[in-house]
Amino acid sequence: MRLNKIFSLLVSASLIVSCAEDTPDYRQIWQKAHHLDDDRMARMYGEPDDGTDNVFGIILEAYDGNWDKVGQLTEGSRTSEIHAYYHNLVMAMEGHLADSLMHYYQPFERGLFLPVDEKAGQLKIAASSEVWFRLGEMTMAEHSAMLAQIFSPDHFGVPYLKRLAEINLVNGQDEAARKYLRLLSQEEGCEDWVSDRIPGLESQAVKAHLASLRSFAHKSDMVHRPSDYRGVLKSLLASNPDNQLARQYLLCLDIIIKDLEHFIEDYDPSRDNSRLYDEAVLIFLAQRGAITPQNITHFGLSQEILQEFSDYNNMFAFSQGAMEPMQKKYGKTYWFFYQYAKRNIK
Amino acid sequence: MARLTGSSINMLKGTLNKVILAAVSLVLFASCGREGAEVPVNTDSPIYPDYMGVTVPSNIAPLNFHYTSAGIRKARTTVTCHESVREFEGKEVVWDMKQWKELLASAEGDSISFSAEILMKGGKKEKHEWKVYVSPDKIDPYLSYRLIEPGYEVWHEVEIRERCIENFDERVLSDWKNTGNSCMNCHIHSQARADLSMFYVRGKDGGAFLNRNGEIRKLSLRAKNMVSGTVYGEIHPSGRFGVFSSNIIIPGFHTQGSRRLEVYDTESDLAIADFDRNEMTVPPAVSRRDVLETFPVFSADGRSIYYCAADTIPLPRDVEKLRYSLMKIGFDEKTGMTGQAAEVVWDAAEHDGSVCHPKCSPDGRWIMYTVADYGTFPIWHAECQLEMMNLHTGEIVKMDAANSDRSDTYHSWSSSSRWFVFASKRGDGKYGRPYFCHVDENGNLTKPFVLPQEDPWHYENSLRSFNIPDLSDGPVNFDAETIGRMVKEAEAEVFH
Repeated sequence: MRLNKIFSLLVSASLIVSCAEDTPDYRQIWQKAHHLDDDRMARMYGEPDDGTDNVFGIILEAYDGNWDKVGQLTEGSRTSEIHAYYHNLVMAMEGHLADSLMHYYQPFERGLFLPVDEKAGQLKIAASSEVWFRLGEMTMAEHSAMLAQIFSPDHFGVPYLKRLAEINLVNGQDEAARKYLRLLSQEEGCEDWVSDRIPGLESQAVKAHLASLRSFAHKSDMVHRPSDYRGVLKSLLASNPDNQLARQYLLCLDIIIKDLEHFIEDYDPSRDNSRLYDEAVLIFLAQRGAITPQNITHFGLSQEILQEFSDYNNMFAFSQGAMEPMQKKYGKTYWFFYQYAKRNIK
Repeated sequence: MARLTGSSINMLKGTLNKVILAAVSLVLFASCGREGAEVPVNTDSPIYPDYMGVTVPSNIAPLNFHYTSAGIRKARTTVTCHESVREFEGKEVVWDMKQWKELLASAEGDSISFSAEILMKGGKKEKHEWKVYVSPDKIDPYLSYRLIEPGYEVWHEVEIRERCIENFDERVLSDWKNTGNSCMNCHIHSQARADLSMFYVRGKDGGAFLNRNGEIRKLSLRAKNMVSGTVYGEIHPSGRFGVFSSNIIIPGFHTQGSRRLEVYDTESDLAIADFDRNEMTVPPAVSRRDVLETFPVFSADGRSIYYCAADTIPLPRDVEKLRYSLMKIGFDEKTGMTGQAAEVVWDAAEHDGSVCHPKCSPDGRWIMYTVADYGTFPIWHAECQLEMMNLHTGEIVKMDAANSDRSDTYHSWSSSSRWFVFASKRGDGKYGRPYFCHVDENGNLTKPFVLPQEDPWHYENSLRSFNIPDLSDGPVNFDAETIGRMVKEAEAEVFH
């Protein structure tokens, strides 16, 4: 009996230890990465709370490319721009952005790209380089990473230095990369990360990673406004049509901002396959009275979705546009989003 | 961050700093010494900053430096000048202020010889020898600059500082803490005069801060017929007038990662401010709808205005066709009016380039400017180069000795016209640093050197750019608290 108790105590102790190991103390990691003492940490971010710690974790894990962890951390808490932004990225990395887009909160284009300005707040700015970096858009990624650094306490943060180093390695700007790597070499725990990235001495894994990002690079140049997301995505795709992340972001951007004319222009039914796209096509055609046999064939629309669209419209007419019953039945369709989602942001 | 230390404190500091630096270097050495994590320093030179073969003024601060090779075990540096010999042990060479000043005084018009013996891990030895030339031409002892991350278009916690370049004293002239985190633009002096300078604090309580006749004024330099408030410009040598551009400035991003940011104007004109009568004038000859006019400066005698001008074209689409010529138009300081017609001084079409940031030497002999392939914002244009023209002969002087393969821009002259300072992104390609260069009466240049810092690792560790370095013959008569009070309490004087 006593042995059993001891055994069970040991088991529960080991479980506690393993749980603690499974969930890093993201607050502590964040604090260390920004060289903050306890007082400044509390002044900057308040007392520890699960919500903020969760965001620290998401940002840190995403910088390291740990998408499983980012997916876990965004699971069940997607009612903020930052959670939608990261969950969309996780879904896109898995090739499922379109299929999942209507399944959780979407703050219009801010779920795809986080704008950076002095009002955005440090955490959003810290997050804003992630999508650009993964897309292969290094100018915007660097802009955001630089701002993440600028808006951090004491203008310093290890994740941003790492990002700046990698961006410059991708761009072939080794002198700048060396500057950031040298600074990082003085940070505890960064030795291996730095060693693997010294220009000319990169590890095989890093070489492959950089080559993959370089393959996405723009092959031609253009000058664009910071908010010209579509123009940048089009340019990325013109440079590398196999950039699947850019393709998903382009189509979903068109859809999420309800720009169906551009969506139809960008959409290729022979290669882009998702129910979301079909739903968007139907709205576009219906608005123009163009649900014709030719278009149904061209866009590959099934009888099933045509029937559902008809049912949606019938119910809308019957309920006189009342939102609640529509949401109950169609809340996860683009039709509902298109008709009911309103911007509460400028 | 501001340090206002006296020279006696500095002497003590020299010794203390050596101890601190030794400790710091031990820590650095320990951390850098981890297997595989030592990152090479960004230079081909065995020392950084690269002071090998440079010419310095006889009143410059100590040239502290460190050796750059990876895996140094021991280093001995021997410094010789005439009969005097000094030795330094270790990877860093950090001078005692008093000893440095004595050395400089004895080397004026001559050179200082450096000899280094370095023992590497594994037993390999390196030897290096070089000279530093000490010009008897002194440089204006103060330099102001804005410290800012090269963050494209958004600012946060910006400050303008003034450094005494004869030592390491530095103070804040205006900062974010006192101005509600306002953006502020760069501090410029008229012909390096500490008693005649100006800068902007942006935002609703901001204005143009004019330092003239011993007082600081807060001005709203805007009139109805201007396309914006004033942006770039210069104060007339008399102090009564200013010439400015007013620009609608648009930032645009290049998609190709190495080219980054392009800033262009969709509209721009020139305007004259009369600081005595609080009047703005927009002369028709320099405010044409079909021409973008910008970067105006006065000639040394104040009788002309030089500026850059380009034909309007569709932007940003055709930004690579945007080319500015250097223009000149007369200025009458009795009336504050420009002439009727401008002449082309440097033709963009002829030179297949675009000019910006002209600055006239106070002796009236030279005009220096930056030439890029295109556009009006060359700080990310690696190809942009400094160039100068002899205003007496029209001869163009290529400035290869000063230029690098990275952006070299935003120069300013010393009051003697024998030195100029400029911001260069050489080294890491990202962070602008102030470099000084000597120019003799025939336009011969020497190898430029970076602003000396107390910590020889300063530039490697710094994540901020030195923006618009501007020389002055003394300290200005204001500080961050004064400016902060004026931002909060003073109404900006209105100009009509």
